[in-house]
Amino acid sequence: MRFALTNQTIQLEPPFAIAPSVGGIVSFEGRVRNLNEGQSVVRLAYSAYEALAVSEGSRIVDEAIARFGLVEAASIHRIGDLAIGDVAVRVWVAAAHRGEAFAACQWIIDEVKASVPIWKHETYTDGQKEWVVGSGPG
Amino acid sequence: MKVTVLYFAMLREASGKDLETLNLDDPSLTALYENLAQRYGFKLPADAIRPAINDRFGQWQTSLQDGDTVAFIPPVAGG
Repeated sequence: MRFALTNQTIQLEPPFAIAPSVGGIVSFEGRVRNLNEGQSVVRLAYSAYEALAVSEGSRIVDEAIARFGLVEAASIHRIGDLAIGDVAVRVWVAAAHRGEAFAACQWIIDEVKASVPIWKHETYTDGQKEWVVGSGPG
Repeated sequence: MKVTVLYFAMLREASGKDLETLNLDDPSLTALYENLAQRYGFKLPADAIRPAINDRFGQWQTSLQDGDTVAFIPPVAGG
């Protein structure tokens, strides 16, 4: 499976061996920021429908490899309680050339945000709690 | 027929349970969602939800079968 969930810190290095045909690797790191829609976040938890998240996330990465002609790609997403500044998701894309690597990395994170069943529950400084809705940019 | 329903995120909070097994006469997914929405006060309309059957995304028009596991996927927010 090329998509995984973890409740541990996500590793910096790609979770796959780098083949000699790889000319470029692009990675994306999504972090928990302190503001969402203008509200100050004090606490945040991700939850997931694990079986479907892994299969849907892997389907997306597999499709990216075929669509962009990549050598390899993977993504890992955190679940559980996170603090401001924690890495919530990483995507790694290895390709022969940088063009398809940049394009595929963006495509994968956009697709993951749009359809992988992961939810974000935020607590704000005023005590309000909210299920964050939508897969807008950022 | 017996169907297991999994609850996630705001639907888990509203229903107060992770999952339950129900005895159904009607195999319609939309009817099941409308019933549960009424019972637990789900605020999300069906068109904001994607149904999943047996750990795969499915279609609203699919008929449920005995032993199926169903989940109603509210808007996702990973990343």
